[in-house]
Amino acid sequence: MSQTDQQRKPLADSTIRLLGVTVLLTQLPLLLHLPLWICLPGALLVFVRVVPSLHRRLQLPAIMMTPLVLIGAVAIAAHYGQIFNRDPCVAFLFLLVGFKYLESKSTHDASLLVVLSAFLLMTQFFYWQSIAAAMFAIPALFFIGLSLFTLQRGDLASNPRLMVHLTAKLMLQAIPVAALLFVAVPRVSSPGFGDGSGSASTGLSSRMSPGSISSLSLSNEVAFRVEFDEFAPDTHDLYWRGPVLSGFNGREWFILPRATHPTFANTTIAADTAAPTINYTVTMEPTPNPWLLALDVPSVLPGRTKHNAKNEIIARITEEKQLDSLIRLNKVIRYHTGSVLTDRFRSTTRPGAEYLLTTEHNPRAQQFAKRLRIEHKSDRDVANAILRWFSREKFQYTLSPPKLGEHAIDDFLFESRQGFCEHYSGSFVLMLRAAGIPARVVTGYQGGELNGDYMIIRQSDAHAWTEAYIDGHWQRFDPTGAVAPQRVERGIGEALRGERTNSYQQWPWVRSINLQWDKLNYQWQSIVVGFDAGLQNRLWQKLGLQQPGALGLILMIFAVVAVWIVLILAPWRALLNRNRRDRCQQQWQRLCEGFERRGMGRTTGETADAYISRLSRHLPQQVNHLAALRDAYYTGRYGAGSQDPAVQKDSAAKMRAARRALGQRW
Amino acid sequence: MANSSATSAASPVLRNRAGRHFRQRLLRVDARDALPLRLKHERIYILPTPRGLAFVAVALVMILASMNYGLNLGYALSFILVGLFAACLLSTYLNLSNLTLQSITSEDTFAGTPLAYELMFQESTGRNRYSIAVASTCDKAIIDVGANKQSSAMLLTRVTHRGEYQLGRVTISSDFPLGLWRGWGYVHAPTCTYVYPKPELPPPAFPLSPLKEQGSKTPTPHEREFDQLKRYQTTDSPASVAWKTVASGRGWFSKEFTTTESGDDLQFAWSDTDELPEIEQRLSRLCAWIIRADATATPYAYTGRHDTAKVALGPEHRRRCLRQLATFSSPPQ
Repeated sequence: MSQTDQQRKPLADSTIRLLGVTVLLTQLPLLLHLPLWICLPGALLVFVRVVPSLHRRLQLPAIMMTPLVLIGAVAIAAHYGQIFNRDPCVAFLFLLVGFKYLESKSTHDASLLVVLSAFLLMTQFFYWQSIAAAMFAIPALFFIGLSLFTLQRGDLASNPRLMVHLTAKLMLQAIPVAALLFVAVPRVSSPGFGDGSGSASTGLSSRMSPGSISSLSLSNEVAFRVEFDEFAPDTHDLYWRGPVLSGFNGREWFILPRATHPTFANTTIAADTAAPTINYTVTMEPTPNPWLLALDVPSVLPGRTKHNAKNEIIARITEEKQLDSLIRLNKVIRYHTGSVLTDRFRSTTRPGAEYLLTTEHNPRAQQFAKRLRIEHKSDRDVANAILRWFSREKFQYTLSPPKLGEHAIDDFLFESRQGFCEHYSGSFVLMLRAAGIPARVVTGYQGGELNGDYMIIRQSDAHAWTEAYIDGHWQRFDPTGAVAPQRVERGIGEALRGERTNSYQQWPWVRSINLQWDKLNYQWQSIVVGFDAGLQNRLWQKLGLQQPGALGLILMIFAVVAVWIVLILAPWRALLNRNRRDRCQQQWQRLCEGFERRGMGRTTGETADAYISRLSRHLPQQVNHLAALRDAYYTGRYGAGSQDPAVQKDSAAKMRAARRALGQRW
Repeated sequence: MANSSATSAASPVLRNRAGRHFRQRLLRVDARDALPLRLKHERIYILPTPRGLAFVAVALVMILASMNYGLNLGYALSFILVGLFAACLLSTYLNLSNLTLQSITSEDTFAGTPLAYELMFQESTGRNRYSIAVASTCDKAIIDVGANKQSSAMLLTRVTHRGEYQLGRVTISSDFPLGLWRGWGYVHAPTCTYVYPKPELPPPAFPLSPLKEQGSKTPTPHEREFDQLKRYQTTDSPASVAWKTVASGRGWFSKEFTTTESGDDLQFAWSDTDELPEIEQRLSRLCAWIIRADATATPYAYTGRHDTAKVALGPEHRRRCLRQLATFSSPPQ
């Protein structure tokens, strides 16, 4: 009955304010992810009550509460087009916590509020799992603990310092258990249900038109990171193959639907190549696109380690050697794959007519190509002639080319002559096709920045190049390289020096801080956020353990938790004090404890002298020992030489002997 | 036939005995605990509170969500909550364990006034104890006990009837620190407090006794010799307070008188209240007489069933007489 009384008790003002701060802290990270029209009222509801002067003026009548919540729900459903899905639910919870706070009156309400905010705090991880996300969570988590504490104690104001101290202590005690569970609880690598569009950046697209890649070039966002098993190849070999664009409608290049294969059946890498095979692990940032990236030419299907240490293949390969993912890429994915570093591979099937398709657009370019066809005998000579023409004429590699007309390629080739990689690759493929050579555009990334033992590939490294079918092989040509060789040799930053004014590459110290930060981020991504069955398995191996079964895991958790319990319950204070306190006091303490067990404990406030005389009355035959003990105690504690450790030691020894004589063994 | 019934009768007895032992062990139904009593692990129960259950349920939902979406930071956050839940369990236990209930003291009182029990707690492990709730069946107090300090909790019982009262089982509990767990232990120590009958108001005149009519003078307390000093209790009459010791700062004491002279003394007998119909009314009147006699320091006696009793004065005597009234069960024949 008193339990329920306590639950009904109105909240103290300081408690209400503390709860408000807690709710605001849990709402804070979501402000970055939810639409503004939800954020503003959700946070305002809380803010209005936290500030006392506002609260006095603006009191929402209780009867308004339910209709307002319903209006909020309807608005959210209208905004998202549905309600029973992740994002609308998060948005609704965000609003609901605000309303709940506004109407919280009793301890019972407040308990519910705190528990709801704990859940709300977690929902931000649906959208991001960066270091910043964790930084947002820490103070909020602390305030959740502090709020619960305040609810238990009734009022924060009575002793805030103590409560902050004790909450921090509890949090520190919680961390070993959390770390153990984090490491030991098996990760299911199933993608689960529900959609996870997340905050994945757009990245490469399935269509390419002038301007589509240059827009990516302004973004320093990381596309993926790579750890090479042995060594990193030279920059001019770093062609990260993405979507292959074979379709053309006169203006845009796009992916043609292709059959996918679980093996490399239809295409093989040129047998005559002496190119090295290279193996590496890619850590992909979340993306809405379905392609995985691999160095040209992929030779091993990407796989990731499952919890049973088996390799799970996560992609299929098309006959165009485009890797189509079998899983959703809405979160960070790590996969291991391999490639042969070559620019040509054999294709057993002759390319179809779609690789020769041109439209009636761009007549000048097509005529120009046909002329070259007549002039040169072999297909390869035609291609080389075009490349030579690109480097000979005054073509310019620039991020901001002028606008082009209806015949974009004609305008570019013969008028403006300023373009980015999509202009060069597109016009090159068109000219090859006009000359009767099957050709296609390949998009992906080129280059990458080594940072310690891994390589960063950013969206700005996005690139487009071409492949032409010559002598039964698909041969890679990079027309951009003909115009701006430094693009291929030293990367995008070098090729566009001076043009990309927003680039951090301009100042070396910014660049160095940036790289350090990226390293931290990468470690965070790969160790914390990307901690999966594979990493877990590697960890067990490092500890010299087999992958434990369910029973083993439970036993292990129990064992570690038992150690944790002992460490917390151990009377540290007494143990530490025992060493710090002087020896005589320690002996005295043991004497008192010993007699307490025999029912003759020292009463509070009784002096040593009085206590000894009382004991002497009870134990007349032990009077001599008791007197000796008392004398030694006084000598060691208060005597003339009591500051001298030797005297203390001596007195303590005498006391100990007397205690032995009194029958105290310990 | 008789034999078989004897054996079948024996097993319920045994079962009863085992059951009683078990119930005593779990619930401390009988007052068998000796004070001072240290709350040990064997006496402490801990269960999650509703808030704790909600907390852990949300943590589980968070783990499920993290599994579904593969959120490692979600895992981390939920596991910290689980860790916090576990750490609170230990904190709640540590907050209660080895706390000593030193004593339970109470003073006799009159029916209609609250009966106060003072429970003295002693902390001797050097750990501050917070939010210790001490509850009897009808009152609850929440106290903090500092490290190596003493602290007392006051539990009130409203009593309407005279008689012999026991505090009963005391529940010492705490949901410190975060209110996620509640730990508790039962202590059932024997206590005995007497509730005297409610004295009649206004105080009635003394019964007319033949001795009194002779008009012999009653000596005032100041003229009497007192035998010894006793520690003052709130139910002692102000007339018996040894004011000299109070004034000299030596504390509150009451003078204890005994007297051998019986000529002018009051003998309160059951038959003196014959004009009253109800037993309780008669007891109230007797009670009022005793208080008045004590206040005016007139030696008196409550004779009960007997014709005469030894008259005396002083807190001890007064207590004895009033307790007789408190436990009065049937009128003398």
